Amino acid sequence: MTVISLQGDCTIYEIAQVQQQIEDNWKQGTDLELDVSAVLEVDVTFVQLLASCEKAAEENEQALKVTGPTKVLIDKIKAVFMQDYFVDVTAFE
Amino acid sequence: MEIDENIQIFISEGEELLQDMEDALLELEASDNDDEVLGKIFRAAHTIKGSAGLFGFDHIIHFTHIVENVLDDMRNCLIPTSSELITVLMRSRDYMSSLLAGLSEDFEGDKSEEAELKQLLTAFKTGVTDPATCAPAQPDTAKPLAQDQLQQSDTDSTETEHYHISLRLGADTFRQGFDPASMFRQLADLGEVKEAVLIPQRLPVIDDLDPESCYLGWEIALKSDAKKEAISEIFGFLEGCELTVLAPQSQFAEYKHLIEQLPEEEMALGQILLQTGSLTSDELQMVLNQQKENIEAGELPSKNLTGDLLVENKVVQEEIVVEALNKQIKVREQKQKALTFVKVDSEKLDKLINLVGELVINGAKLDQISDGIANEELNEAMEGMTLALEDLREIALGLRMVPIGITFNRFHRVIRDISQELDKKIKLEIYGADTELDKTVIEKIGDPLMHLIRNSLDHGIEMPDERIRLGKPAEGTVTLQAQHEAGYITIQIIDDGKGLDADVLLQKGKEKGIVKENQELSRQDIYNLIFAAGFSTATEVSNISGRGVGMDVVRRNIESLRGNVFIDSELGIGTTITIQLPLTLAIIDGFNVSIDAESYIFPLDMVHECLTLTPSQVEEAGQHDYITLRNEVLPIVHLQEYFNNDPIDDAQRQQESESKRRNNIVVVQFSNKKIGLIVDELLGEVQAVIKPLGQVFKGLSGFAGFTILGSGLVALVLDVPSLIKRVVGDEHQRFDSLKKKSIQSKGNRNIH
Repeated sequence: MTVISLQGDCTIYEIAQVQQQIEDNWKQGTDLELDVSAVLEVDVTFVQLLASCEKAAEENEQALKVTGPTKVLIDKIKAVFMQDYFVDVTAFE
Repeated sequence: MEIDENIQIFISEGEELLQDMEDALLELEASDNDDEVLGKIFRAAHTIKGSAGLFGFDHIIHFTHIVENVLDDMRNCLIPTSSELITVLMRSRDYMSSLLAGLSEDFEGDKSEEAELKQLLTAFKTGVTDPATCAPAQPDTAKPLAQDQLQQSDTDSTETEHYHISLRLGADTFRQGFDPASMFRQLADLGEVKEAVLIPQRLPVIDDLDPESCYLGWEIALKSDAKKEAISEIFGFLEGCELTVLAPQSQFAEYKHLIEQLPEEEMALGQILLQTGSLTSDELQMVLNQQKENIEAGELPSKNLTGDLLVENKVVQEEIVVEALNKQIKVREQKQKALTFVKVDSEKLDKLINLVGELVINGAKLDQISDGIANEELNEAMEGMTLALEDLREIALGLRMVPIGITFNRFHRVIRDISQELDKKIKLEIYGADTELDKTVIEKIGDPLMHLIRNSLDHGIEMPDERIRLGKPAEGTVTLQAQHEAGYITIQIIDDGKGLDADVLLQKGKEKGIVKENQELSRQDIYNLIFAAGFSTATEVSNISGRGVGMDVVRRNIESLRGNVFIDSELGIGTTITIQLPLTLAIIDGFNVSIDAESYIFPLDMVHECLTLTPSQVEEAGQHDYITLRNEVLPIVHLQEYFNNDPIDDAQRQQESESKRRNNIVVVQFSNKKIGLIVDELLGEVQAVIKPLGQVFKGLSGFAGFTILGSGLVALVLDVPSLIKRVVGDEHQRFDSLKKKSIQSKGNRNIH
């Protein structure tokens, strides 16, 4: 299992670095846990990035777990009707 | 502007799409409101717009968007298809093509043409807004499906009480500062978003993701009393998004469109429509039933998750799912087909063929060397290599072969436009479109063909009333056909027009000083006058032809491809123009002969047989220019004489016959004409890489080029068709002069 902690703002201005951070640290062939508890501001690019991780995990038969989502993130995901796409986001349980 | 590789690909794919669009527009005109054809046209425009968006070619996006809107309304039965509309769409297509072509020169199109087209397109768009008026312009070409749908209005509408919105956001959505969450908020302001299903098919996995681009799309059910326009307005300023808004109780046909046009390749939209509540299961079944009518019965598809789900849930019957899935299978097949093709720069192919040519030459050299060394192993290896080399040559040349149909199909448009311009009725028939020809030849034959066809249309086919008066059908026919014939491809342009008047041509030829007053010409020669520079019989110069410029260029172009052009015509019946072109320009199977210790190559395809002459035939050949071969007279040419232009006197010939030289004959055949060519020695088959003769030999006829033999010697490649033409021409001339002499002597006798 790879655990990656994301911090700070995750909007279109930072999204490329966030993607880089995930790509650099996600060890091949392992499940991924994204700790997003320290994430501050988000926009839909971040939700899309999470969905893209979910898709990659699905294709490689791995699991993605998003832990500690803030209310801001949960609201954003729900605002664009994407909550059903994520298999394992702790706050949706 | 510096054109990078991606833009090049965009331009070339755009051109292909525009070609598809043109073909589909012509098809649409012939088949009325065919949904599938309309879909094809729409997709072409849509794809161009989408791709242009990737590169930020705003002028292309802007114009294509207007065209796309009109096409969309046509699909939704809001604008009826008419000949006028198709003409405007054709012009729009041409304009889009000019925009693509202009990319390399930073040319953003002819603004006056753009303004006019915009005005015309907008007029069509605003002209009709009531779907009930969706009927083709001509009552006799009514679209059965659309009318049926209108008549069955009770059963044709769905019972859905909400809007169904199908949305795919454009790639730049995020970069434009648009937040999809705000879109949902605005929708919520207009009513209640009952359901929104994310369509994740376009979303790449993280490694392939451009995180600033948007890949999201939804199918949304919105319960709202707002007007459709108000809903569409929310997305109004979003560039590059694909949007369909279906009003409550929309017609089945519109859902059918939505399912058919689904952008995602394997998406179970039917299921999503159920999920969003936009369709009930019964309604989906009806939609699928309608679709079923339009799908030809194909093979049964393999199991598919979507189908299984629908069946398991008892939503629809299995056979309906099977039919609906046919579309998905078609998409997958297309995808697989696309994957089996690789686009290659034609320059690379040329290099490959040149290299194969070098291999062939060096292979022949090695072969010759190995023949001189009695080493079994070496000979065996050499034999294997020769066989492999032959295969390699076949495959390499095959890479360049393309069907001529692509060139032929262009003429549908030409015929349509010109017949409208000239007020003539003309149809085009095409045969042998699958005939393959070297790409270089295809590229170069397009213009000459265009010119010949324009001439047929302009000068050949008569006006409809004139045709009726002559007892011909009002609609003229131009036939384009291609077929293979002994290493050559024959392309014929046949029209059933008024034919060529030999007397008028001859008179004109004399007036223009092309024909001398007393010059005797065969019928073929008279017809050939139309290929003379500055010769035109049209009394009025039209836009289409009649400038007298071009027919000579046509012949020159064809001859530069080692081809020939012949004309046959019958006054009042029609004209047939036959173009003969070599199948390939690069490497041929040849037959090597020697004359005066020099090697010459015949294209093997044209060698009919080789013979050693019997003593009686040798004698006959010595006395006449023919021999009797199996009770048939065969014209012969002493190639040694022919090339040296140095007639041998009878005594010398006799002497040579005795020395048993020149008693081999190669019988060559082309276009049902046979001649015998007397040579010294028959040396056998060779693979010959044809190289062009230099400028110095430009005026030399009878040779197609030269090749380098295994021995390193140079051999000339004979141009059999031109040799035959020359010999037959000489015969005609001799016949004509004999006839003249005999008339003169008769006249003289009468005087005395």
